[in-house]
Amino acid sequence: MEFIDVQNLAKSFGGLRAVDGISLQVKQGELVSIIGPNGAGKSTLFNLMTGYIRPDTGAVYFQGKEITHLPVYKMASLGISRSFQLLNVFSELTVFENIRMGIQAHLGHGYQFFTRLDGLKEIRDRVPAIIERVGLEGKETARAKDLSYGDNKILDMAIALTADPTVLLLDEPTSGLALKETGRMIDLIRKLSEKLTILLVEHDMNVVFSVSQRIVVMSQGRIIAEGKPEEIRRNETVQEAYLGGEWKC
Amino acid sequence: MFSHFLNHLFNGVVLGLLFTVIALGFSLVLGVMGVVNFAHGVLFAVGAYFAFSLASVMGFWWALIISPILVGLIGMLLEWSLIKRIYNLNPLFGLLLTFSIAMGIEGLIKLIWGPQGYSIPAPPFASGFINLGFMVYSKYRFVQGLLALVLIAGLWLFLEKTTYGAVIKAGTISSEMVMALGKNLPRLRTLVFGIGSFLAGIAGVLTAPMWGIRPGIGAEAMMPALVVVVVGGMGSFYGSVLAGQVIGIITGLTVMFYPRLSDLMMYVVMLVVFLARPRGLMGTKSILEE
Amino acid sequence: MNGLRKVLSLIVHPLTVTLALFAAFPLVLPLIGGHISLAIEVLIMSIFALAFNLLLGYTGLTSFGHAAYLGLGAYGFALCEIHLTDRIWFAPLLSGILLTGIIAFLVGYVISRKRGVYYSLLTLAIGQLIYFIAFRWNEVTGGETGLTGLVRPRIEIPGILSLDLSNAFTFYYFVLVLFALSALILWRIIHSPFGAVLQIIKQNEVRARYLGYNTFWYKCISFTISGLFSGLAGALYAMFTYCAFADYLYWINSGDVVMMTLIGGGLSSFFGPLAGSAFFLIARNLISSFTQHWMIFMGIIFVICILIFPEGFLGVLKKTRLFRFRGSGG
Repeated sequence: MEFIDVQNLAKSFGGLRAVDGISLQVKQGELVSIIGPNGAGKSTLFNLMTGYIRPDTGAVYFQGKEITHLPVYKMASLGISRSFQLLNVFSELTVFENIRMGIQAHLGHGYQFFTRLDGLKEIRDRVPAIIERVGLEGKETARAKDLSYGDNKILDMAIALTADPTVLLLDEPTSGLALKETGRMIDLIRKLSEKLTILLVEHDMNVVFSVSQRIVVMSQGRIIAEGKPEEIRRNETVQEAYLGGEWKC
Repeated sequence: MFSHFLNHLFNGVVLGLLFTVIALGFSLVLGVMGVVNFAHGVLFAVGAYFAFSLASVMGFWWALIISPILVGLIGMLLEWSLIKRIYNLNPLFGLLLTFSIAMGIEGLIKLIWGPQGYSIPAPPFASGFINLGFMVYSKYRFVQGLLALVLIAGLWLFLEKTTYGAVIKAGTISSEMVMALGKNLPRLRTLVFGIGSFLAGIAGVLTAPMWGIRPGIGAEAMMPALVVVVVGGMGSFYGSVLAGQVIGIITGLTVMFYPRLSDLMMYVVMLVVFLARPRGLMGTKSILEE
Repeated sequence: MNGLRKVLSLIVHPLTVTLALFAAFPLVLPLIGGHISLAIEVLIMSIFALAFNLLLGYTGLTSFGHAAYLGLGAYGFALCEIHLTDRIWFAPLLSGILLTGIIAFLVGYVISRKRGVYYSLLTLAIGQLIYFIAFRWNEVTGGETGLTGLVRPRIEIPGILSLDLSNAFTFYYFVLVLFALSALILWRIIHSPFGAVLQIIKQNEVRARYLGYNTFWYKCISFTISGLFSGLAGALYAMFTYCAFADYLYWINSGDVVMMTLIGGGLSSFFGPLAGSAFFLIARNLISSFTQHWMIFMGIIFVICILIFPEGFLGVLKKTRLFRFRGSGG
């Protein structure tokens, strides 16, 4: 049984086949990168896998159990977390509060109506660990909207970690980042991949080739190639799909 | 019995056509500018009131033409001075702004014409009954229906067959497209609001002999506009026509069988359609979505 | 010393200050030509506005048919008094609250899958539906004439209290007690883990779901709580006016409460709705005492408010950092 098993997932929007029969298996602990030109369906794949969109056909299995039609809010309890391509944090809250909301969900304290939020010690005490894990020390009281773009991307990741996931789906974590910040993100991803299974959608080939154990190439909703990084680098179909492309070696 | 049924059915059809006219102006503004124009109803009322004042001076036909033009001009003035300031904000503000404007204008109506109601008779050529062969029908409603149909067809022709109409249609899809076409977006928006107001005004004139003229008719007219747009689907001309008919006929028939429920049928329809098919019967795209 | 500090912080707590202001209100109002009945109306509408803002300012959901819940509270009160009893003094009030709460829950269950403008239009349709039912169901609701001739039950707590509420001042302070309770409960809810979830739903519902929150239920419960307190306000309004009219539910009144809440600064402040309802009602009262054309002036005032400070009165104050309230609203 595979850790993550995607079978023949397909979704059309109007006449457009965004995802056209994708099958993918991921082993526990692997770091698999998904690359492909814009519009290849990568984000849609993540949306389908996490219940944000319903697939037209196909199924998704996690640790042997079918999760295809589960709603988004069930993902966290399964241990599946996701980060987002476009900024998706709680911009009015501080770094501390952002992370706290995730931990609160994880510990199941959502339905407490009359306790003082500040009073919940067990939630409060878990925040520093996450902040340390991602490297946002010193920024706890900063509001997300006042943070730099790079810090926000890291915060996004931090929030995803609050569910204590076993699987991380990272959607273009380095997009829009400057060189130094990209390095920081790569280090973080490497560190996380020691314990977690990671699916990584990326455009930056430096990142892809430096962290991936396996690369999957998508184009127009289909997988056109799959394999170890060296194989992919040499693959002609892939080079064609990226005509004039984004090889930044 | 059957002609009784036909009578109510036709009433429903005519009502539906009138609802469509009310809704089209509202829908245009919503589509092109994304503004939920709560002043649409009060502009409808202004149209009726202008007709009332003008008809005694220049007769029904002239009132029918001049009144909506005046309302259209007022609409353009409102857009240019006030409404354009809130386009990029949270849609809630456009709503509240137009709501406040409606409040102010309703106050003006009471100031100018007084708080009491008026009735305006159907014009002489359109009063009485018309013999349609298989039944005898109210001549005024027949004329109403005909005029509404002409208006709807006219608007359709304008949108489909003229270049400016094409630009407006493009505007309902995206403002970027309009700018890409090299057209002046602010001016387009002012014009669209003017057209929307014109349609509200002419709907007011058409319905005045039937529904009476009171300051409160503006608030009442808001509802059919909203309901038709939601049921028909945003951005859909045919949707507004279809929805108007669906709601009109259902309301008309409810008057026959269970008159007490006739007021609320449109909301029941709206709920049912909305829950089953959020985009509306013929909705193409939805600004409403998130 | 710590005990003293705690007492001091309670005294300057914004809720305490607000209650003190409202306690003094009926004494101050005559100075600007207002009658105590205006004060009562402001207080009751403040409860309604607070309830409304739980949805708008904190959960990010705009209900355009909220007057329906005010009206349901009034009818619940009236129907209980007429058909059941006015001897148990709290029964009609409780009926108003419960009737509204139950219907609000049912409505919330239906609409909470949606959000944004979709949500708002659904609430509008349902609000109008309830209005027309009230308007047409003559046998139950009295139709156009409504239910009149209600009384204010005499409060009897054996051994402690026997209060006649027909005196306006007594009634005002009775309402104030209920207002205080409502404000306190709503404040606690907003500052609880549950309230925090509402606020992130407002900011980013998708992300909240990815965190693991079933936002449907949060929105539904929020709507229900809002309904319960709106029902309380409605019941009090029936007590105040001695009647229940379908007109209470008309959609224009729904627009009014949106206006009050926003103009006061409800989007960024717990107390915004209070400022807004006071402003709205006092302005309307004052202007209409000068001229019958008050609608024109109100319209102009609101247009100016919306265009010049869309964040509302208290929102502006917050921005200028004139008042730093410890933990007031998110």
